[in-house]
Amino acid sequence: MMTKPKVIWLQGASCNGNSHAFFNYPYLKTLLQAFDFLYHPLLPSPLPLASIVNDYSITCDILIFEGSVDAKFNRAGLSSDTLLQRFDGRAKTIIAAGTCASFGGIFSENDQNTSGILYRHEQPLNKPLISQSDVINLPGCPVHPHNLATILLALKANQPIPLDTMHRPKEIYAHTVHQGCSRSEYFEWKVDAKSFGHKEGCLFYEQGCRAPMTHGNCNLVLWNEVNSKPRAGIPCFGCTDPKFPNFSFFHTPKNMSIPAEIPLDVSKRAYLTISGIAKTFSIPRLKKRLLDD
Amino acid sequence: MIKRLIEQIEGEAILTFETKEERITDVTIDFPHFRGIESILQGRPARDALVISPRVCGICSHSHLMASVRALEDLLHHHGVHIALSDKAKTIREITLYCELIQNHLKWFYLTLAPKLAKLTQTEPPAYLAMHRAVTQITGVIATFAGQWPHTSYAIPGGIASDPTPLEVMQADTLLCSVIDFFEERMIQESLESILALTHDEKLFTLGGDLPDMLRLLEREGLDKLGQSYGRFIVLGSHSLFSPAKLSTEISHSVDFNHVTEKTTPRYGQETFAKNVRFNGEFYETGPLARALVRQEPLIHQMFQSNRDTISTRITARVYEIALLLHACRQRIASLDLNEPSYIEPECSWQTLSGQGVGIVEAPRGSLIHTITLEHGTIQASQIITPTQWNLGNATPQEPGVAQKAMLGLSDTEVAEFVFRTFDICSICTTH
Amino acid sequence: MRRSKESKKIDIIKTALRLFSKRGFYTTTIPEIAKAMSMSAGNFYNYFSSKEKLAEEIIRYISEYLATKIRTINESPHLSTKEKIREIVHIYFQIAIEEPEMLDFFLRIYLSNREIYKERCQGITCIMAFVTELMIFFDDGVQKGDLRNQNFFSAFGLFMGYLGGMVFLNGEAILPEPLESYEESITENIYRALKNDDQA
Ligand code: SF4
Repeated sequence: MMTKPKVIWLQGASCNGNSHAFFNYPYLKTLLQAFDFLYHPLLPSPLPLASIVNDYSITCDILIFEGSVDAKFNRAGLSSDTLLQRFDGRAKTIIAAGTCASFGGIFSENDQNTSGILYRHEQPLNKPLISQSDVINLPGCPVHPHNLATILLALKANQPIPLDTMHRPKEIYAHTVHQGCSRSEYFEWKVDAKSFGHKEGCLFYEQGCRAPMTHGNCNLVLWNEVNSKPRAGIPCFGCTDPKFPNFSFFHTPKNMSIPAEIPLDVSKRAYLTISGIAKTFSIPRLKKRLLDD
Repeated sequence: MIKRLIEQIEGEAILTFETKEERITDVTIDFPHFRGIESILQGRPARDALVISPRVCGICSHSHLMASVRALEDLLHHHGVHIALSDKAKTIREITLYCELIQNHLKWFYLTLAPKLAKLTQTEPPAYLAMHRAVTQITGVIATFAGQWPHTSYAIPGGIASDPTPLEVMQADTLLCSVIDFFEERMIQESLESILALTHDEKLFTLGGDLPDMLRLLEREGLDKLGQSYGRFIVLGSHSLFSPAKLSTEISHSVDFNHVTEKTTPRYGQETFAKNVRFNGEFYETGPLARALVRQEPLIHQMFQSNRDTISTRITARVYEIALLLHACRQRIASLDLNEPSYIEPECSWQTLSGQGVGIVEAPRGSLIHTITLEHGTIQASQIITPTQWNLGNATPQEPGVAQKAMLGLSDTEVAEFVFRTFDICSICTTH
Repeated sequence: MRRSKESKKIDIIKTALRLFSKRGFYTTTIPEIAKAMSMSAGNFYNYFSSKEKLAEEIIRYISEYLATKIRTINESPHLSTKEKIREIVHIYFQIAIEEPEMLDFFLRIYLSNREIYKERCQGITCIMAFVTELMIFFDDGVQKGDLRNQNFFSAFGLFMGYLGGMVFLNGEAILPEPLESYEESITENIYRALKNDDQA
């Protein structure tokens, strides 16, 4: 019988959003049975936080860290950088759960010294906080519960998890968020959403959807098992991106009607050619409301 | 002096007790978790608030979204821009907000309160995994309309971004029914209608379910009558179920928001990031108990008459509110007219807008206020006053805050911590 | 084999352009074009299945031709936005002088006889290569802060409409001076009309 890997979940400067998102995981019971959770901020845990952080004899296989690292921010009386560093080498693998832990996220806006575990936005930290444990970044504001759960299970199964250059599992972050959107046909034919509040039309041209420029799988693995933001008419804000939240949301910046940013790794010339042509065709099926006759 | 670290709440809190002759004479509540959301908003375009504000707090992100969208709509309104919300958009916003309250109350009961009480009384807490399923379903209802939970930004000035179809609404209704099944089977074993028709807690005590079980346990352990505070209540948000009112000796429906003040009371020279909030210079309790009392819900009114604002009244009010909200959500889902527009674009240019707007909503823990000031479309200042600042603000032993007062005079700091938890603590919101 | 078919096609296009500009599009017949190419009409159809197909290929050819030239300008990082305008004006007028039948076809046939193109070239499909290069030019100018951010077609119309108008006036022999002598003032006018006034 396989022994249950020990998991500890700690927090830096955080909104608890990753903990709550994780709590939406439908198969939580199965997951909790597969692991030995020594500490989770929401769930009843066998040990108090103070023992977890101060008792060096407590080790774990996986440390899940949520929130950004901010020296001014204390948990159980320890600053979050100290807290994190106490687990360097004491945890085999450290999972950065969410964009804050991965890249600094929203709370790094206030302070140059607030960062993720390995990065501040796209920049690797000058003085690395972690050098002995493996770090896996799972950005997202919040992280998708399925992504976190499957990575935990893959670690337990000793499955290789190929990472990209920013320590993100390729299998999750090689896609762009655009992939799988229910509006993708409108993207193909350049039919923009006429306004918010419509099932029809793509949000890339006017409403500021960043999905084609953002790595993630929100439209492939649905949120709360039912939906995604773009499907529900909300532009993707690029919350998995290292630069999040450096954008002005809800509108597409344009240069002379041309989107300032275009899908990742597509040349502007190629994009403009294809989209100019696609736009020329007026496709009645895509122009009308879906449920109209 | 006894220090206690309070965990398994939203964030963490530190309670420092002073005792004399085995009675608590003073308690300081510290929330060490300042993240500075208000200054992150500064200098950003107006609608960025709809993406940044929800990140104040993972458990009530949608309430923060609603407060921000209302603040922007209020600002537009002052600017002479007509804001026309369709009934559909208004109703869907209400449904998703109520669902957020429900998920919060469920987690509070099974994760914040029950395990602590079990430890205190050396009993087995009710299992939380059935509740977990209900939470995934109620957040599924939110996501059906709002794309995801937590951290949606689907409410925008002028309406909502989504355009739900009849089948999606049906799916949301089914999820809701499943949560109602959970509530009737596990929390109070009675039909929602009968629960809402209760007029006396005598009947409640005869019923099965995790709430009646908890009330019986509290009574048996002699804990039920603890935790009394000022008995003053305030509700500031306007919704289909709630409207602004305050109650000290009697209910008054005229509450002027301008009498709300926020300030820090420095104690022992130590800085705390939680500023306390008063109305007309006095502390008021906000949240489910306040809402039930100003709505004059018969059961809660009777319990308040008999037991005042003790923990049994406070706990019942919050669980009772789940029933009230579930019932309201079903009614509202049935009333939706999907042919109405989701969004009516306000005629304004976001780049040039200046002015100030206030948005108030009833969040899980009570009244939440966002104030946003714009200059030429850019956020100059934003102020957030959270419900927990009303309930958990620090003040002096002579004039303690609401939760402080509820803990004074108790002999056991473990019990005091339990009393503290009945207020539903969110250190994350408090300091934001 | 392929290559020679392609180059033959281009020869046909060039010949057709000359004939169209001399005798008019509608009055010029396929046998006439074939004859000018010293080929049989039957053989001509191996290259273009119809006169409409020929018209489509011609406009694509012109679009590509202009696009290639503008692309070279777009990809010259040392040129300022204003210098790029000057270069675009220059090559446009140069084509008008050296290969007048090309712009002639564009202005007189493509733009004025849209019914020929309705089926084959919806909207700007067949001149996309050319339009794309202008998009790239505008996008770059706005990104650099040189050009005012405005609607693409307002800017495109101003630029190309102006040049087309001048070429037309020149073709009608209305201009008192040679076309190239207007390059500098036209460049200045276009630049002033499009430039970003908030520029530091
Ligand atoms: S709305 Fe966004 S995610 Fe959906 S198709 Fe358009 S660009 Fe892609």
